[in-house]
Amino acid sequence: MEHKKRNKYVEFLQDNMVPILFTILCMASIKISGQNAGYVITETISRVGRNAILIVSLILPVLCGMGLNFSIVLGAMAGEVGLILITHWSFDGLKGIVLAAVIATVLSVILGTLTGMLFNKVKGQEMITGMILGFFAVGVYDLIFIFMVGSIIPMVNPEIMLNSQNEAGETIYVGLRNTIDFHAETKYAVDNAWKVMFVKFLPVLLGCFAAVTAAVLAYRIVKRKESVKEAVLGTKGFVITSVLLAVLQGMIMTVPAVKKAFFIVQVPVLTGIVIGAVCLLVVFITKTKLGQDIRTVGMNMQVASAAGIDVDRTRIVATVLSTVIASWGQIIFLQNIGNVQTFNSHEQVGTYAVAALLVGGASIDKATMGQVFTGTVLFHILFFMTPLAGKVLFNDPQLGEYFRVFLCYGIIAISLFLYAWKKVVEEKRRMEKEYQEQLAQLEAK
Amino acid sequence: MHGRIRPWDCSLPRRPFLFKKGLCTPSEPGDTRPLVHWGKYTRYSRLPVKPGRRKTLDRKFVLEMNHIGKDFFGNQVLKDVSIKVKPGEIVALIGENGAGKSTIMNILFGMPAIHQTGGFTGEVIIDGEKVDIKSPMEAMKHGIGMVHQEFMLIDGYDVAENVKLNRENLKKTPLGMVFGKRLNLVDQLSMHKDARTTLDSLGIDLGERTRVGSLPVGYKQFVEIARELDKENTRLIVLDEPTAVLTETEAETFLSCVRSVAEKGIAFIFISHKLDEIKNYTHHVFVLRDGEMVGDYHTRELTTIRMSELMVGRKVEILNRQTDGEAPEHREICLELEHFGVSMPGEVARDVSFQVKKGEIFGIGGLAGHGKISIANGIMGLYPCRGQVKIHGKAMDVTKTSDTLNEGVAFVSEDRRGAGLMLDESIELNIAIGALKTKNRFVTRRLGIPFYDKKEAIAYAKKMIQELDIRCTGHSQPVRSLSGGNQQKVCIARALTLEPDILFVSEPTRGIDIGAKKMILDSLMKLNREKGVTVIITSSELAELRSVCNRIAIVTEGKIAGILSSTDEDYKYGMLMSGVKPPEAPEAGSPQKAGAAEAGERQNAAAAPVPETEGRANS
Repeated sequence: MEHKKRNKYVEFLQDNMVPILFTILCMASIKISGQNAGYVITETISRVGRNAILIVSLILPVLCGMGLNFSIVLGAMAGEVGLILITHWSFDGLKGIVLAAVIATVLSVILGTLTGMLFNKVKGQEMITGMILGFFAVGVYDLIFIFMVGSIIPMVNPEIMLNSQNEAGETIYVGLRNTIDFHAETKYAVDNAWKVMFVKFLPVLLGCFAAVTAAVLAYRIVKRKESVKEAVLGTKGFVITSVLLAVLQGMIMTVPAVKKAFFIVQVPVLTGIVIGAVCLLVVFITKTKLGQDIRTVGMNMQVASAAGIDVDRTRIVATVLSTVIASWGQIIFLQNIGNVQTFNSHEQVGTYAVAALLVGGASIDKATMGQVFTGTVLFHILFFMTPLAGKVLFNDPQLGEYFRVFLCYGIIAISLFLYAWKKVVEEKRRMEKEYQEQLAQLEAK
Repeated sequence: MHGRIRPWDCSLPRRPFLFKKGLCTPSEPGDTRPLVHWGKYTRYSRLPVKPGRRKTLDRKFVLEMNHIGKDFFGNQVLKDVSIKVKPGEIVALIGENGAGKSTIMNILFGMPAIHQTGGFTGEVIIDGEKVDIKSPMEAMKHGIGMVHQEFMLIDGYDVAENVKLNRENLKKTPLGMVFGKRLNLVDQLSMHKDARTTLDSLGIDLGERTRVGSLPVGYKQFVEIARELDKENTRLIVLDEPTAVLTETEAETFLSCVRSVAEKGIAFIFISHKLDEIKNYTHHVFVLRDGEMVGDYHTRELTTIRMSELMVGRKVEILNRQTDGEAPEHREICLELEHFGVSMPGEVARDVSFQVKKGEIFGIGGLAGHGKISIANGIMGLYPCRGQVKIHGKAMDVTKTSDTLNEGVAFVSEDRRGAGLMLDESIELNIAIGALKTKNRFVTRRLGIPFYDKKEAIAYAKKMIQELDIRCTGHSQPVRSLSGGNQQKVCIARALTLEPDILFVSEPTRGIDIGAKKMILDSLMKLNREKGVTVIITSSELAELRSVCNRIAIVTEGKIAGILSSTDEDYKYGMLMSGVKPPEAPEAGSPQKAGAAEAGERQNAAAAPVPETEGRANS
């Protein structure tokens, strides 16, 4: 019994190796940097709000067996185009953001379809293809916005375009500026629409979660006649989140230090609602016929096509959805930043999102909502804490900057390695177990 | 959407019930009321069953394929083949590999390969209507289902999800109404309920929430059948070698399940190489040979021997090994195993001891899952093992595979597609690759750098192709496009390239038709006779072992139950396989099989330990 129990712990540790490792790293860098808790929490919430949707966009392709979709860069570009256009038209504020989202959606449906068609030609190599496609798309994007805008595409706007003189001495506008500032109304439009103090917001959130959890549990127990244990296991995510929130609430009410840390924290509620809606949309899709098809295709393409599922179409749909969600994610991201680095903002989007998802414990064939949020939190804490920690340790902020880049690629490499290693270990363990079982059976005879 | 309406759900069985065509199962077991088809409705007749009345049903064929012909670019592969199947009938389709079985099934399922190569001649009639099936999906709509040889199941899903694959029960959602039915929710609850009903009607004890990946092979087959039955309009199910991967008992359970389903009115086309099963479980047999229909018989008119005669077109001779002058007992020992155990998943050997004499053909037999296959794999170091192995009297560390190979031991794996062959490479490379590494054969040195000597390899491959009679277009043909028998020959050719003294061959005839089987066994015997190679054959087919081997060891529950001579009586083999030491003389009058079973029961009841057999094995 003792042995078995220890085994269970070991198993848990092995299964969650990556998140645990990064939690420790996070703790260490927070400790070293010596920043106060209020700063860390504010920064974390703002960064999670900024990045969550981009990372959520990776889930569907993973379920569809296409691995980590590095080509969300294309979606990000679509989002940027939307934002640049509304800035050009001076169509500002929340309605401007909505218009940008509509434009981005249309663009990313087109781009996603093309990407999906390309992925169907290179089944099994979607990840590397997506990465290279991202680089290629950056080239095309640059061509359009450095050269074609103003020369081929008729557009004049001194505010966002570069000016130069032609031979005749007239001022002409060709190409976009490197940095395009959004108009004041557009900046932080979603974030600032509805901000609430965290301490006031938490009870509401807790209430919502508790209510949903109770409803789901009740439905499972009463209607489906599952046992209590089964029902709780089935709604693990909701139950754990509610309990964690409750603990936090309790601590804020009782421990003054915690209360102080959270007191200055503000929550952008509208951003939260958008994130929640996108998450719900993804969860909803996984529960539909489309989602079932996506998972079937992900698990075994041959079987899926033999059962009459249009494999290629399903994969295209998954890619399109991923690209569309990524474009929304980029819009949320940029309105939080307040400007767009015309030629750089999208460059690392894919890599950072993938790294964050991997930190959460996802792998190339499995990803859940829980992993998305764990990953986002851990990755971004590490992302802004390590330069600070580097500064304290080596007295050189530049070193911390290097460390950040090193961290991002290191994470991808380590997670992929640990994932492969885990697979080998699992296979070994499975074989050993099978052998033991067989021996036991023989002995029993 | 809510499961099928079944007769036993109806409270008033005497009243005629109208069902939309295809919405009702013909009858529950025991309900013999005839069905009356009436336009697009079907109902139960009010009339009591009269003998002879069913005949009206029997007249109709569920499937007729008339005068089918097909050529691939002028190469005639089917000539005037006609198949007729009645409802509730199990029809066997037999023939050697390449006889045209798969082509005719491809035509039935409207596979793209058929239409891309110019279609076919003749007509396909389903339920009296001439149909033109263009794709497997259309075939499905016409009520034709297929149970594949390689399972078409998703391991990560549970049984119900697999049964309902791509036919999931859906719940309407607002998004679904706007964007099409793919955005409707999957109704897991009713899906599992439906699957349960279907599984119950099959009469198998299988949880609908079990993950398919964790099921034993035998059950996966049931899941496939359940999937076909769950389709509301299924009338005909094609079983493509369904028992090839099953053990004997599993196969029996499976086939009796098929039979009970057939009694409910669903027809089966059964493709198999196992003639005993065909004899015992089918009603009608169609025999194909070289694309022509050579036999159209009721099964009761045929014996298995006659069936194989029809298939091969020549009399099957029972192979009998000529005994050499020198009795093998006096020869030196070349392989000795002592308390050898191998932990191969699914085939665990616990304590195996035997000796093989030089120049012998030694057989290892036994039931599937008892560990016979693991012995050769263990000696080749493919799985962890313990105990002692002596080759030519020298104790070996078998975990070092290269040492074993250098000692002159070669191995032909039972998994010829997985472990044996590089399917997309040429015959020549497949033959040469083994020796390339271990013997440095087919290697030329230019400036001291070793290169692959393709010329020599080709010359050698040509020689082997001729010697082993590998049917191919040439040495550069990819192995994937060869038939099973010829792939096996390539495996053997590769093993021979190592010039072995001892050759392990595992399941040499699995999935191979009768004609090719004989050739393979012949070539093994020729090797033994002409080159003096000691051959150790592992096979599930006892008859085959007995036709070629000098001695046969029977492995039961991971131990050697005994070693018999090929001339020993049948009952002794039966007893060893059931784990009982054979008595000196059979009980007078009792049939051999019954005797074995009885003895097995007795042993189970007494929970007696497995009899000590080491003494026997070592003698």
